[in-house]
Amino acid sequence: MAAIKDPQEENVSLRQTVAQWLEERIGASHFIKENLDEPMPVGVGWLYTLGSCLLTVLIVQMITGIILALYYAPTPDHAYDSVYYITQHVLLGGIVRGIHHYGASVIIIIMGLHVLRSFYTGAYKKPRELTWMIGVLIMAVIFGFAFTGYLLPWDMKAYWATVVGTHIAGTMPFIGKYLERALDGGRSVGALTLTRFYAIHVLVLPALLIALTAAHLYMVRHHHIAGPPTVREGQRKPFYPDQVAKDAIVALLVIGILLGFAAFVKVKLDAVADPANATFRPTPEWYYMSLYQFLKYLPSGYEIIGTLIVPGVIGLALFLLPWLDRGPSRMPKDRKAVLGIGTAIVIAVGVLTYLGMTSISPAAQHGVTLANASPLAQKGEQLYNQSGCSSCHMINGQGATVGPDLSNEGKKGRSLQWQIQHLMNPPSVSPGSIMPSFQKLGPDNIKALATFVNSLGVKGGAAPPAAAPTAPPAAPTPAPAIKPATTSAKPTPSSITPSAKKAPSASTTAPGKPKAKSVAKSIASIGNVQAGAKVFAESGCSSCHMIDGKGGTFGPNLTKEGTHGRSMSWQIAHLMDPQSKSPGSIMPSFKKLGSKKIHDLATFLNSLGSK
Amino acid sequence: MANQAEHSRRSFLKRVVEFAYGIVGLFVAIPAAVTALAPAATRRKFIWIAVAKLTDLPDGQTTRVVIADKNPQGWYTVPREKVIFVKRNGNRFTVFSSTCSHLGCNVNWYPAINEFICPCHGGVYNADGKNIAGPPPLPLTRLQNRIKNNTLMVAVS
Repeated sequence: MAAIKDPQEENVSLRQTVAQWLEERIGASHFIKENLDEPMPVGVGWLYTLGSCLLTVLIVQMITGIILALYYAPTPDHAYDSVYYITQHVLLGGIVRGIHHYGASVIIIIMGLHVLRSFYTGAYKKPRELTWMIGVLIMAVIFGFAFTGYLLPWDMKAYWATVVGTHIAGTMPFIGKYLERALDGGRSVGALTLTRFYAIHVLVLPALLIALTAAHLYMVRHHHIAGPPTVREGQRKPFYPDQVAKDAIVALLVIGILLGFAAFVKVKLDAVADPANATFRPTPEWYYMSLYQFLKYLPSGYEIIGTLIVPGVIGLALFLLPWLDRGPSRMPKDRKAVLGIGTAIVIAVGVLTYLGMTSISPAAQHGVTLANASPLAQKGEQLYNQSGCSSCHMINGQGATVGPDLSNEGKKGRSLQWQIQHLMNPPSVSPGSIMPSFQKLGPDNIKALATFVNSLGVKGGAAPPAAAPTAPPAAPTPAPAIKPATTSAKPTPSSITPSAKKAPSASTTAPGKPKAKSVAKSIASIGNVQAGAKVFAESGCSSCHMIDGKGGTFGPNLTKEGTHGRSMSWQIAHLMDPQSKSPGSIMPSFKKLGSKKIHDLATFLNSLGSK
Repeated sequence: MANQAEHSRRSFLKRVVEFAYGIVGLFVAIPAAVTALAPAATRRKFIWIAVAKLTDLPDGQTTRVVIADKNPQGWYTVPREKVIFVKRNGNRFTVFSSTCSHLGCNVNWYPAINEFICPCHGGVYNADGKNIAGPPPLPLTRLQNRIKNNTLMVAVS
């Protein structure tokens, strides 16, 4: 007998069936409906989309972060390479990294606006004190993300910003030095710092963020959105779709801008981290710029005001704001003192950020920069550092000696036009020059670079030195940069046992009893010279390069490579990416050799010709 | 009576729950905290590094030298380069660390004005390493040094 179908049952669509099945097992439909249908206070408009927008960008950060983690390796010898690989070789990798990089800035902006909106409308008042406090904790977690994410690319900015950051932690009374070591994972920023920061960035902070965000959202729904300070008459509209539509439009706009930045403004990757670099000026991201600038103003012994007291007091005041502003009224006219202080802080942060972003290097303020203080020359100095000029030229003892020493270039009486022409087409004004053309920098940059080069060795200029020396030497002597005694230093470990009996006096104040170590051992420990020589032979380097009369002449003669004063970092970076250090070089990358062989090869090269 | 016994039994069980999970928490928290914070107790270890032949250090000048060594960091040993400054007066050598006492950046030596300047926050030190302007709270650290076989050696950590 054929079954008789219930007509009503026939009308039940598949979708409804599935929804019912799920509802019987989860029972969440009431919860969802209640939240989606929640009536919004009258007057809730576009300013109230900031929280939702922040949540959207945070989710985007999580997704892009997971993608980056598929390729990233948190070790000093692979971190930089893996970021470089993501940017240059992974399909759309540069865009994903760009979204993640610029997403951090977008989050800070949206978060700032969200906090300001809540602050000015008094949204933290009873009964929403905990909602606000959890929000402040989320803000702290987000700054933690920004700080720990900074180090991961392991480039110059990453390294030095982290050195400063962990030193800031070290200024805390009593526990500072222990806290700094705990953050560093030892006595200095290095491999263990990187793994720590990575673990905190991808495990600890996301867990905290998810928990705090869930709590924040629960509290927002529990007490409902605060809305404008004055209760307005009118029809309250449901959260979905009225407010959600606004949220979606703002999210679309923000993510569109973010994607545009990621696609068209390439994220910078400085040179690989170099602990020996003394000229790199690690300016932080814009959101830490106010603190950076503030620290400059604090005199000796008062740095704790900038590192701990002021940020701590502001953070604590924000956290406890519901108890500092206890009046029941949310109206701005009743909260003039609190809003005045808050506005003053916002203006101060803005001014300090501006001053920090437009400040010149400390050395420039003393008139001993490599350039004088004219903005164009400053720009030129940046270009000089970014374009790898120091790979060939030396200024005040910094850089290589392949090309002429530029310490006193400004005193040679060359015109700006000559310098510009020289940068555009070196052989045209300097016949026989092997310097590559820098035409690709563009006319404005070429002019800045020429201005910088022409200012070298010339004191004064647009900004006189703030602390001018009383009797500057006519021709400043460059600080000689010499390489460490190399493997040619013959003493054996036993021959260099600690003894200073016959030595000239040497002033000392450092405590402790150092363990004796041989010259040879300390230097050879960087890499192995013999192994490097083997790598040199096996990798066909001699096809292009000559050593002691043997080998090709296509590339530079390396017989005295170790006498050029190039650092190990320079050699390693050059072997990994020759163009990064020698623009225009046609040498291929030897990255494929791997870290061990690269180090050996670099050690071998730096040993060549050294006495 | 039965209610009292039940209440007492439940109170006891609540204590058991608190105690058991408390101990479980401690079992996890103590080794986790110790392992995570162990580097805070890292001790400073010095090693002697060759700086330069004395003939390479000009008299009456401050010379920037890049020294190299092997820096063990847990499981990983990195080649490390470090900048120091050697001030020579005849046979007397003073070796300064390049680490700014403010927040750890590398200072640079500017012979034109006989001063060290930090590129980060503008700290200034005179030729003796004394902090004379800007935020640094202390002079540059002087490193223990000695001479062996006509080579200046320095103790670094």
